[in-house]
Amino acid sequence: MSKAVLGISAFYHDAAAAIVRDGEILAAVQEERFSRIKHDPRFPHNAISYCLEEAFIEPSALDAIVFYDNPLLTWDRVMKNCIQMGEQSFGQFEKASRSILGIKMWVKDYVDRSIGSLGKLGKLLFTEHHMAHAASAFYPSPFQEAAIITLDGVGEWATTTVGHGSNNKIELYYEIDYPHSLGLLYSAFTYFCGFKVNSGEYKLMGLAPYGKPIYYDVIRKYLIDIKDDGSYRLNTVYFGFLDSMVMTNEKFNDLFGGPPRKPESKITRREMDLAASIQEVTEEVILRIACFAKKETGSKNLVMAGGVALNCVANGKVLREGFFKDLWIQPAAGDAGGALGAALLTSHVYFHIPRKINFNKKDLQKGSYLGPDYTSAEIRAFLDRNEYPYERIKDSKQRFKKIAKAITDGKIVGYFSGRVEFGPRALGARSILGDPRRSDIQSVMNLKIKYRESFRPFAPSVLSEDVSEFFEMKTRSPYMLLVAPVREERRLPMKPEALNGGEDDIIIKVNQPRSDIPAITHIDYSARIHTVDRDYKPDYYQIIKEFKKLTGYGIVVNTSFNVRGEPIVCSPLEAYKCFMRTRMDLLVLEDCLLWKEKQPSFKDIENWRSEYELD
Amino acid sequence: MSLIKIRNNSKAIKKFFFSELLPVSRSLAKEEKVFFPKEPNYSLDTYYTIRHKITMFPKDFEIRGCNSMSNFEEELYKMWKSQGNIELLALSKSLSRLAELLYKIEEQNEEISPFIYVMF
Repeated sequence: MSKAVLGISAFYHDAAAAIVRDGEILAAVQEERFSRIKHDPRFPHNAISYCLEEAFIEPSALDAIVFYDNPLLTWDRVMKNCIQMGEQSFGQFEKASRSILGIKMWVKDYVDRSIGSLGKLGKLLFTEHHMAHAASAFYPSPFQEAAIITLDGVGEWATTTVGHGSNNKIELYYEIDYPHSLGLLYSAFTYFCGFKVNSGEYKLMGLAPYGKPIYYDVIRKYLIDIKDDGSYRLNTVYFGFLDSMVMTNEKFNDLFGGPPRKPESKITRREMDLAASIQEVTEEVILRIACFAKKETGSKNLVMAGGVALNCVANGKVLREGFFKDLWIQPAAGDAGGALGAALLTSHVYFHIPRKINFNKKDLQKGSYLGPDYTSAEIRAFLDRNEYPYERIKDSKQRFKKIAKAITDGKIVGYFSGRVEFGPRALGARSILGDPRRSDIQSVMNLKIKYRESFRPFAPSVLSEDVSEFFEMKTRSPYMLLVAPVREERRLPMKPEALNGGEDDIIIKVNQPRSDIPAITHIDYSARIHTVDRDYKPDYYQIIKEFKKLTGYGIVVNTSFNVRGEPIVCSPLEAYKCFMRTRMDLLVLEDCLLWKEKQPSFKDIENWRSEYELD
Repeated sequence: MSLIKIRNNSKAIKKFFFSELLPVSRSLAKEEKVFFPKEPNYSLDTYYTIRHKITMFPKDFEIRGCNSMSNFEEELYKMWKSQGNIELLALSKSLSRLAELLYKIEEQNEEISPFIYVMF
């Protein structure tokens, strides 16, 4: 008997819904893609509606609906934290009691009100937060068995777990509990360096290669004790998150020479060095945990999830260290992926649906193209209605050639094709593309397209079979979750003034060509790699193939189709708005091509610069 | 939600915190009882704890306390009793009353703080 399960994550960050039938992932999407609020934590009404539509199922026909967290245990943590921290934790208690006792504990009522049913069971199911992460990592992976590591800020109590998955079974043997958390430690530095907690962690990772890890010893001496097996404990006296509404406190400031950097102020040498230092500590912990997981499980495979698993620099090092033969990371590693993990766990453990495994090494995540798509007819109806000039090229070969030629000519292309990606990375369904050989493309794309700090590097999409031609890596990285060095022979030496430019040197460094593919080569000669397979995304693969025919390079620049602070575009309208608000040259909406110079002047009635807050 | 209700809720939260939670906090502090360590212990070989419950079974997916307000007090009580936290048992009743007062199924419009990780 077929079993359809709806998974929901909400109320923390990145609310999402996912639907699974007999263990097969049918759809998964973050609420932000519909609501247009980045990291939207609210109950995912829109994402749920989309999942039900995609699966052609009525809410009452769902075999189960499952929430990815146990609110009772989360409340247990809040209570014990406030009791232990005493009077100064009143502010936290007030906020937590309103949000948990008032809202999150009764998520069942939200579901009932949103879709008018609790499915065939007539009640909501719940999973443990880290079990949902573990399930999201293991079940879609291509492995029959694997070691499991989950790492995030905090779930109910757990912040880190180590375990093993085999067929239907997931077992988590070890854990580290709140307040000791690698995720919270990283977020503390994110806050201190002037970036937004819960979203700016990625920026901190991008900033790290500009600095030197001169604070490593201070962090190790005062903030965290790390054992040989990777287990760790924080010294909470330096942190504010236990009893205040910010991550760090005065003692933390004293360690690092003054107060936190003000958001949007100049990034100084201190922030670069702090980023480098915390990145080094983070990598050390993750590598030791990976080694421990190998020893404990004896598995040759590793799967990972939880927000910290989005640290692709650390992931690349885990792979290169060679503890495991193979590594798979859930592309929606943060809380959004919890919706998927909860649905899969319910399918395989609650309903005992046998897990299917692809022995041809392909995973079951379907390239993470799990969100909404739009047909050519829908797109043309939109364009015709608005009288936006476009050229329809039905012959896909001709279309791919034209797009590749535009990229070769230095044009910036907005590419909209197929189902929206599930997870934070754009993988060629909602991407902005450029020529990686051009030395100016990083600053042009950052400042004229993305409107963001120019230090942040772009990622390459490279043909899978060509990856080792450009990078010191042989494995696939279909979800942009691995960082690897650019091959030695492609690198260009940095000019001395760029290396020793003092506190103001970040722009000098950014503008230095570092290889023959400068737009995607980070300051430390690394790159965040997205390998493209013919099977996963044939249209995108063919565009890169055509680009290779023209240039000899099977690689393009790929960045998410959005401006800073905006969720990745979902619909043709959002894509068109983003295209017109930025200096993109060409917009591809399925088989329709729109050139900027042919478009009518765009009257933007929304003040999007204030609508999309800086992230 | 009306301003009067918000004000009443604030009063109730404050009352619970200062007249029920804080006395427990002070009493446990006097006994030097803690729920979690706040700093490293260099004499330990590992900080991992071994999980007692290593996997989920079908019955673990059902949390009665979250499926009905009427079960909340009982489930909270049962959880703390099973954990050996007898000093918390007396708080279950008042917390259940507080939950009834705070219950609001409406859109949560509060934005994510850029200053602290979302933990609750």
